[in-house]
Amino acid sequence: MFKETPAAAHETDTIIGPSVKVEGDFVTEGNVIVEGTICGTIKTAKNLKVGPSSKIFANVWAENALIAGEIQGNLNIVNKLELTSSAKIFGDIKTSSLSIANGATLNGKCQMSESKNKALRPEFSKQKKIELKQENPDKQA
Amino acid sequence: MYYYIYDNYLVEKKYQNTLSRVESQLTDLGINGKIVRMSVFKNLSSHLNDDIAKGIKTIVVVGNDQTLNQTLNLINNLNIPIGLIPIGSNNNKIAELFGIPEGEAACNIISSRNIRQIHLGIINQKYYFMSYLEMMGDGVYINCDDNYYINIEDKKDIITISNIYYGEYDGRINILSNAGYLNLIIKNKSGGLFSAKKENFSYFKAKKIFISGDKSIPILLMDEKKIIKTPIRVEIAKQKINLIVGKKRKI
Repeated sequence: MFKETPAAAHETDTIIGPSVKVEGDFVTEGNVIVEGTICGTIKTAKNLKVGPSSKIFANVWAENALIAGEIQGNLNIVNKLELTSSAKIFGDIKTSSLSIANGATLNGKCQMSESKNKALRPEFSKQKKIELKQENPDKQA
Repeated sequence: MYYYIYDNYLVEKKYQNTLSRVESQLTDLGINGKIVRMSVFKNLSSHLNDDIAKGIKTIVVVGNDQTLNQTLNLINNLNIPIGLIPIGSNNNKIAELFGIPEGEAACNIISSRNIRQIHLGIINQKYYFMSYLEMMGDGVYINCDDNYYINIEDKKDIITISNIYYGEYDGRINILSNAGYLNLIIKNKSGGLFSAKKENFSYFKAKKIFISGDKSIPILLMDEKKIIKTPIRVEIAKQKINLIVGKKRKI
């Protein structure tokens, strides 16, 4: 997803470096690499990469995400979310595909949003009710 | 009719041979015309705009990137085609980017009249620039597209805002855009006396960049130093220029 090939590098639209702090609604169409701090919201139609030293205090929307830093906020990822061993998430996650490395921290609810993968529920309504009435032991005696 | 604007530095003796070769090549191609020289003491703008009104069809800038930038700010009507003949090896990135060779070889490009519309940046709705401007990040707050603020935490950071910029950053990005947005690059060199200096950078794309600060900011505009009072509004100009470009252009 984030291989450092020259072609992929040229597609990067935004890089938020470690010396920079961004505040507000950050909306973009291209790939985003975060190595600094963001407060507010991040929305991208493509990929998001969050570096190990970065801190994000924002709700995040992205197509795919690779997280190695800290995020305090909810994550809405359309396709694949990857948490590396240094990732710290304090918020709810909504994604289609999730990968969590050993050592990653996740404090929040996780929802795998794709409808076709919904867990099968037993159809209780169609089953006959089982009567669990126990016969009175005094009567038997 | 062609109108040639010569930069002031071409008076130097070392450029005389190149200039005479350029002039004879222009005569051979039948595209010679009126020559004016830029000067601190001359108000070229009124002469130039009067001549444009009389029917000049092409303006050719003889000099470097800075000469081109100065000329853009002299002309009222930017619809007129503009050519460039770079002379001297310093500060000729625009010529390189648009495939215009140095000296008399550029005359053939002018003669072929391959015209492309090029976006321009504009500062405070007054001053046009074609490539880039640079400033220090000390006491500066940046707002992009009225959506988000950028706080620069290190005072030594260098901010570059470019319409067209020819450079590679960290091996990850090669900026050559002229796609109707500005590139904002914030360069930072971290590291102390005993640790190796590490360069990192931030990169944003925006249509409007608003810079505020407590005081006037010295700006390096295509190697020309200017001091501009804050707030500074940098955006893509509605007006494009018609530049005569070469076949080997990179954009």
